[in-house]
Amino acid sequence: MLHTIGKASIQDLFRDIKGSLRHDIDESLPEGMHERDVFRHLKNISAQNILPRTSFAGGGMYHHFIPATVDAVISRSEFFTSYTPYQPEVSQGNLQAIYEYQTMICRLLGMEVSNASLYDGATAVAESLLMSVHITGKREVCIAENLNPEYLAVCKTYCEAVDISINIIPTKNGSVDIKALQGMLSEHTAGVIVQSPNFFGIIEDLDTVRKCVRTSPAMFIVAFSEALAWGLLEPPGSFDADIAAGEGQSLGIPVQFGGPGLGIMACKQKYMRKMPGRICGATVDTQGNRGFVLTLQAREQHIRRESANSNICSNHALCALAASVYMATLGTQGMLDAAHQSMLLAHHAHEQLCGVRGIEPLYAHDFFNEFVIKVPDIRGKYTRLAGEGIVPGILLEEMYPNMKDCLLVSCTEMNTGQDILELAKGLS
Amino acid sequence: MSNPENLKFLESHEWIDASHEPAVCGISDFAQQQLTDIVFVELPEPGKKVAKGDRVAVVESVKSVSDIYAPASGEIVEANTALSDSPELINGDAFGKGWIFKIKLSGTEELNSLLSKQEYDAATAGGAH
Amino acid sequence: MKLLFEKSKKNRPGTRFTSSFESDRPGLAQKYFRSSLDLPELSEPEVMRHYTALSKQNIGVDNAFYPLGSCTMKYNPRINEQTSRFEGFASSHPLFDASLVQGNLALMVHLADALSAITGLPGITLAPAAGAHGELTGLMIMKKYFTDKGEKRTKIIAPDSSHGTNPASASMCGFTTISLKSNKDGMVDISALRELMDKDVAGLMMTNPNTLGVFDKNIEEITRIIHEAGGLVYGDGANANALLGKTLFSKMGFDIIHLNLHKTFSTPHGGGGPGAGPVAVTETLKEFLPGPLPVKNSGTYSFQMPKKSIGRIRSFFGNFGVLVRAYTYICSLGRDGLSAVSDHAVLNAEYVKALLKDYYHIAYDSPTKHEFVLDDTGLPNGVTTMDIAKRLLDYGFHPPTVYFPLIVHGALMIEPTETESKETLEEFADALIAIRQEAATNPDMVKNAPHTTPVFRLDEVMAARKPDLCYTVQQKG
Repeated sequence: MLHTIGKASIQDLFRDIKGSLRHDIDESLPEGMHERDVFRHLKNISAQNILPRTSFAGGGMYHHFIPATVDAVISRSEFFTSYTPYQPEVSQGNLQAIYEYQTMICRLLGMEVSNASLYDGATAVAESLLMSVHITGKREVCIAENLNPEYLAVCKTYCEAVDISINIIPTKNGSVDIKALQGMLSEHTAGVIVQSPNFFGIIEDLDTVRKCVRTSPAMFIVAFSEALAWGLLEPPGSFDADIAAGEGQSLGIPVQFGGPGLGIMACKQKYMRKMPGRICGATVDTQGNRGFVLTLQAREQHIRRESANSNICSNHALCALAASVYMATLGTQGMLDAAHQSMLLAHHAHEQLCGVRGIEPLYAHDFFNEFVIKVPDIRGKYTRLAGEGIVPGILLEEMYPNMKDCLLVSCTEMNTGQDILELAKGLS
Repeated sequence: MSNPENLKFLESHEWIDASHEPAVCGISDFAQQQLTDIVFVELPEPGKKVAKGDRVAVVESVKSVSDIYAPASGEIVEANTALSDSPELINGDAFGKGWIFKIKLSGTEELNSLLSKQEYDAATAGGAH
Repeated sequence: MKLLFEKSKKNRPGTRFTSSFESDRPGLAQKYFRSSLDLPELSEPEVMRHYTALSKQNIGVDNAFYPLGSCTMKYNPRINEQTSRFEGFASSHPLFDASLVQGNLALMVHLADALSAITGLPGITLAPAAGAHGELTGLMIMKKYFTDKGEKRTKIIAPDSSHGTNPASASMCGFTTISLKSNKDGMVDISALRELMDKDVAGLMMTNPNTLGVFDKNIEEITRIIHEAGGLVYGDGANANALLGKTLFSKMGFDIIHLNLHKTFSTPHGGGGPGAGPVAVTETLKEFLPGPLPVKNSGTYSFQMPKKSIGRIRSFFGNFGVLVRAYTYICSLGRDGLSAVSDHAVLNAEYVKALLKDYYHIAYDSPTKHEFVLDDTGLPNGVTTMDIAKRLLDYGFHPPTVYFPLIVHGALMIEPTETESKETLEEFADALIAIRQEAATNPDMVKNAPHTTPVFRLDEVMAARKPDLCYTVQQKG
């Protein structure tokens, strides 16, 4: 090979890198390992994690049941070793799967148009906020205080970079304070973001929020972090949401320490050309056969460069595929079952836990599969229960310093009545 | 298709026909050829006041996008809504049915700085740029 | 092929959830429930058959040589897939108390240390989800750095050969992008750069080797010009596969860079993602990194927010599943293996270029690194770069990147990667040479390609004019 190239050695291939720049590989890097040893090394690291028998931690990542079909499909290397479908003739598998994903997301959310996915729930919500700024030409947004704190933090970072000002909508008893929202809406408001079920699990009164938002020119954005809720609950589209954005991890993706997840974004048809991200569309080939391509690309960075809708140039395709296989496997009834059971268990847990002396519910509103309780000395109990293989929920004080002793408890269809019994005992 | 005599042009390929009131604007046949098949036109809102050089519309093809600038100052009075369903009108008849918007000019002096047919012919003679 | 929705039959659920729990209480009131939901209803075998059939209409690195320039489509080792699925990693929740996830934190710290050693830059965030997300993060750090210094700099310089994400990311940070012309060798034009540089310029974004695969020899002078004017240099690490064990980003004078773990570090592209785009920065910029960052203190790992952090740029800590794969790869290869990656990546690219140079026109005939670019000079009978790419599909290869970079007319950008054999490279070159001959003797064969794929060329104009993005029964009915 070197002879064909006309070089004497491999070193000659790097002569254009000057001596002053040369640097051999750093000695601090490890020696290479045999696959057997790599396996062991990684197994050992993973074993340093302590996995509970049962967990009530949610807050944006949920441990739902994942049918075996999901991993079987996404492990097919035709899918996972391919790239963005730049050559549609050899990417119809990926493209049709995206088109089906977009359709299922539209149906699940009751929306008209979905993109091919974004990175995660937080960036999807932040992008929807930027989208409302692009569409309206206004530079103020209102965000509910009870938006998932990770999402809120990301919105702040994105807004700070382009000097968009944020008004935080205060909450009353855990849900959006409508009067306060009414007071902050103005002709300068680009969009209003309200999450439902909100971070505390409460189902927001989206109809009232909608009426309030519609008294201004602002766009109505519904955020979510528990996509499975829409298997049971009236979806964002039913409340005339302009954009729905959130996390799709619940749909067949393991929690894997928070990523990769699935950024879901859907909007009204009239806004489709302002939506960020890849979008797949149906068309025909030269013989008139149906086929699929990436479309509406003039929105995107590779064509519009500095005036693109966003800088995103990929999607979480494999996660979107996982979500599609999940929804196709479960079907309408399966989705309803999983959502319904999560809800029933959470309500049962709420009743059981609130029956324990010393434990109090924090809010009285209706919730889906998560709720907040106040437990005296929760930190000590958390540590003790974790030692017994039960993670009782999420300690809210770490995110909201004024929520001392508050615990966010989440249930999915993976929990059992017995788990809840043990939890109640452990917290007493 | 040759560039009509009665029009004035911008180097960015917009044309204006100021022989009527209001004046009519579009993009040249040369421009549509460069863009190839046009798939979408973002039209300006009637009533909008614009200054010469303001971005007033956007023309998209599959692989490119082009901003359309106001050739002169004035008020947009009409947009060619037929382009919403049939953006290909620009490909077929750039100087006729493919017009993009009508503008009520605030004055005519700005038109003097625009290119004549002959100047625009010369500017585009070298092909793409 | 029929859609899921066209195969669906009412009341044929794939998974029945027998309730694990009976409750005599209704729970949530009915008024919140949706009235209907219309998802496909198929049996499990039908679902598997559907997706298996779809997979056969797709090609990945395991199916064919995939020399997609700038994307580094190397082999994705299976051990990565295995380790990332270990229960300990896959089932750990990001909001568990840190004491329960010490393994995850340890892995993140090990990976950050390795990336720091590879780049020479001490500050690492593993959070960005992709290369473009890394760019955004890097520019946010730049912005915050200047704000913190009380300077208001508004412009970013990016070469005209740069990726579209560069100017798009700059806009998302409120910067105006100034395009820098390349010189006749496709490199940064030093005198043009000097002229553009002023007190309003926050920094320069560039790739080295650049998008033509050429290593810019003047890199030290380029970064010095920026630094002397108080600016910062951002490096797009998309082309890092050429430099492992050869030089350090820190030595070249980069202040901030991102690496694409799905390129250089072998994690799969997944049909478009998820990937990961960690960002590395100098000591000065460490305190601006997004957080929280994993740190080790007296034997225990925890998360910490850097002092002047730009904040969070995504939920939780990163695409952790991707990080496990990349760390697995680094452990497998080790330092000598990593260094050999670049040896072979460059050797393979130079070899293919040598095999093709008598048949195609090389865009800039300087020494190249891991990739090179052909242009469409001399293609006969109106045959275009796109036609060549489509014809390659008939020969069983995934085409290279086409029409990028924009400064090359009819660009065909070839990146073989190190994981291909000499024989594969020769078969690919032979195919391109055969197509060049077909272009002369049987141009219609090339212009109408592909002939062997599941569908023929698709009507992208119709797709964009009459968008059909969601299946509706009425519309088809």
